[in-house]
Amino acid sequence: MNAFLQQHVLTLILLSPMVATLLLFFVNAKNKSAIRFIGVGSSAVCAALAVWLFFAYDQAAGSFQFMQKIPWVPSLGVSYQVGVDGISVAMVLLTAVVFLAGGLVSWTIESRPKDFYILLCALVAGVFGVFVSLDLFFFYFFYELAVVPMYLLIGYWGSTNREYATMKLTLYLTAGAVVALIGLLMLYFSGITEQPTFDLLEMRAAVEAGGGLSLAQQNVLFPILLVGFATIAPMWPLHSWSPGGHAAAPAAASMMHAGVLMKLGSYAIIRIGMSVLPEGAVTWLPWVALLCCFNIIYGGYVAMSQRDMKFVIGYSSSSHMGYVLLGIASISVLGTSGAVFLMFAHGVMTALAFALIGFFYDQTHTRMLDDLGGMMHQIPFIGVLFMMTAMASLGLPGFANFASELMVIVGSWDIYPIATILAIFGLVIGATYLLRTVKSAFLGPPNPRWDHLRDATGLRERAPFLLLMGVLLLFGFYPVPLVNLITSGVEPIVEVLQAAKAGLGG
Amino acid sequence: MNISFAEIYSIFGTESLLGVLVLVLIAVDLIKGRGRLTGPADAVRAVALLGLVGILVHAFTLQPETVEASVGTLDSFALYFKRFFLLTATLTLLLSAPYEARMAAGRAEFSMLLVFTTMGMCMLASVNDFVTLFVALELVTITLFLMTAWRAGLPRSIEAGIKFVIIGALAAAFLVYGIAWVYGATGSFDFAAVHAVVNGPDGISGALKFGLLLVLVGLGFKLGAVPFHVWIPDVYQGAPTPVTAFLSVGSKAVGVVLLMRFTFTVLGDAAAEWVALLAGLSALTLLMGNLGAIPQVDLKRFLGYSGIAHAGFLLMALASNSRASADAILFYMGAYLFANIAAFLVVVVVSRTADNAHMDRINGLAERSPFLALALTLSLLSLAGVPPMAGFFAKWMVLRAAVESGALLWLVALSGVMIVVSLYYYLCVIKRIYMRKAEDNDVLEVSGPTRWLLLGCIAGMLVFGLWARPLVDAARIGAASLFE
Repeated sequence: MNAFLQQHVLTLILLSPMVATLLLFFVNAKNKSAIRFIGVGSSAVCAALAVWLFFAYDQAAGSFQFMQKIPWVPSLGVSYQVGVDGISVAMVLLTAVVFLAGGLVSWTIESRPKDFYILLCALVAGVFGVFVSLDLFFFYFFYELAVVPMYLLIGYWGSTNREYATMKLTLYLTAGAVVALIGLLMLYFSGITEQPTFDLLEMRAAVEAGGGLSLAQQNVLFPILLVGFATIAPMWPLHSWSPGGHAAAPAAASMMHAGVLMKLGSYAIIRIGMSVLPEGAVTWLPWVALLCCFNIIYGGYVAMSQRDMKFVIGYSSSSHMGYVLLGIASISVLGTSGAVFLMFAHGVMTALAFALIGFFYDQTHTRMLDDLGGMMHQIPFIGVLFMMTAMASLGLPGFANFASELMVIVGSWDIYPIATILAIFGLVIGATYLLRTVKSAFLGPPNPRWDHLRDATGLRERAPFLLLMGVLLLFGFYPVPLVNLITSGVEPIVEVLQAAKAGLGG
Repeated sequence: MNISFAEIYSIFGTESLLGVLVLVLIAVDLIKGRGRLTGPADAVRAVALLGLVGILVHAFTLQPETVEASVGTLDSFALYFKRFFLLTATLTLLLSAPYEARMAAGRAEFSMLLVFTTMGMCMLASVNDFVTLFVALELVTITLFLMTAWRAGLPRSIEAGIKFVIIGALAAAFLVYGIAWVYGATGSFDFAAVHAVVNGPDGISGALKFGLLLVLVGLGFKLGAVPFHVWIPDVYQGAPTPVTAFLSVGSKAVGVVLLMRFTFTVLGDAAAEWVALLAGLSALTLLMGNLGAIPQVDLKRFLGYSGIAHAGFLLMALASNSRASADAILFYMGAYLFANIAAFLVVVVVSRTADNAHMDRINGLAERSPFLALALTLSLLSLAGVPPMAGFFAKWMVLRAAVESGALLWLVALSGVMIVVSLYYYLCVIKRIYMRKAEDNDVLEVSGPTRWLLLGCIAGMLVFGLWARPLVDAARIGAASLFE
């Protein structure tokens, strides 16, 4: 069993949602319990495999593990190749946790649950695929696969202004993806390896051996890939698809979307941009550090003026992604590891926030802060958890977000002091809008209008919330295993970058 | 020159069998019909189907022949497209079954004409001189004129036929005039001889260049490339839907075959000088097709514009002018076949009651028939180039070849923008399927054969999207003979 898992665990993680998608096609649409069972079952399988992966990954050995390579279309240089390093393991774990919680939260969907779970599973398959692929063709294949199901998820099950929001989201992300694709194809033909190949490891080996592309080539390719991937990150000013998309999406889609999908961008910048184009990254990352200040400050201010709770969380997400980008741009082991850790922590936190909002929105049919108020009296479980989520988001010690943001800030202080000061100021902005949101929605005298609200009861309803909160607290109080894991993946990348930086005289 | 019948049969065997099939069909019609108008249509169709499948299977057993005769060639490229045309014809015949109830008369002859056109198409796959090219092309075009105007009771069918005839005749005039100039400049109709002159020490003379340009324009008509794209929207909308499907796949493939022969066989190395022209045509075609598709409200017209957009992509591959781009084109056509047949089959079913293909007919399709909704959605996603559909891999191969060529990055960037635009209008149709209320809530019956045909197309799109290797290998073998 163990040996089988050693060899196939990544393929199994990928296949689980794919098989669920396929199975669901053949289930009668009226058989809702079977549909839910398959959807949630596949997420449980993924979660179990991801936890196994987390413990089985050998941090001391580092590098890529659980590799598998199958020639796919040899004549075009395409092979199915998967493998994970510390960064990917953390991201796979994040995806699995959010998938499980999202699957459970969607249990109550009554309108076309079959199609909903089909799309959700397809989307998750795409996300897992990006995080484990080491072949640039499949990397892109899964990247696109993750984007398009969201169109229907938001368009059919969504709310506020959904048709506009979902079209904007899909077109933005596809535009970014196409730019990235052109960049990837240029990279393929750039002569980085002797024979053109989509094999990321071979490219990486060429870079580590001191080869790689000329500075001029890197300076052209890196910004192309950066713009392509930063669209989904989302980096200011390419972020405008994101808050509207979050707000319109149904709970599970917002969770996947803000929790995981947005991380694909930062992940791709680290995995491809920084790994393969170190000199280009060194040249261009300061610009990212500049732009991410807009994310943090501008996103925070916009969040402050929102009245719709999902828009608050949506803009706060793009604000928090600014910290991730800052950590990435810092090119230090501490800062970049902090960025990856923050991707994880923010993913869990924001998924929890959207799940909680989704829970009461199903009953209130409004998320406007002016209409809400005093709900702590009627739905204390949801209220307390939302308050804790807000505390996590604004960086209260004890939650994983605090640890990761601290790492980012300490790690980038030496390199970008001004950006770091702005980022710290951003935490104050975050505290302002989050506390105000909690106050307007949950605190105050009881509002009779919400007396009919039902709190989450029973294990099935509470499980997704408790799961996500448990993960936040666990890695808040005991971040060491996750941080060590991430650092083992970040270190080799940053080493090459620092060497490149020294070589460029910066 | 003496060419024995055996030699001709070794190259045009498929076509001979198709010709025999037409005769058999006429006989069946005569024997079974006994003067009635509609009686034997089903029998004729069954025999036609049986014959086409048989010939298709036979075509898969054929090996490339190397006969030194100027009547034609049976290289691997010709074989790939013969199989392609036979498969298209078979699927079109199946697709016409649910449509035929709407035809008052001439159902039996319809099947015959389809086989007849296919014969011309298969012949075109094998041509290696301009005379055979012109004859075979007219065989295809004239039968298609007839089929387009088949529903004589419908003014728009007649209108489509007339438009098709006029523009088709114009294009044929360009072509034959161009051939005359080419003959005048080179003294030969033979592709190899023209190739020798084109790549000869003297280079291309002005007269030859003029002739070749006219030929190129005439061939662009079939592909639906700018400036000969204008017939497509009207003809696609007015023609009976099975004919539209056949036009969109078969007729477009004819354009592809001939343009590939023209670029890779006739021009050869000299094609490098034509890259700018092809790239310019590609850019215009991409713009025209993609921007034109946005405001459409008729499904067939919409698919017409989408077809123009795809012609732009094919031209981009042609302009990349490399081995990889030839592979990409052949793969692209394979992916395009399944997606288009599936889309048109859904159009046939949803437009059954109203006899028009206004997009309102698919509003709320997901409620009325989840299966049809799924089939149409997947085929549109494949046309848009979304994974895991075959269309994704096809677009990816074309872009890969274009980036490899290096010189066309501006066109790659434009096509990238157009990919986003195309996703927009395909999603607008998908939006109607899932997010609009149906006008009438009658349940759409999907007959057994239709269901199986749709399932086959879905399987084709998914399998070649996920496991592209068999089709890539077939495309590579097919394109190989162009570069020998």
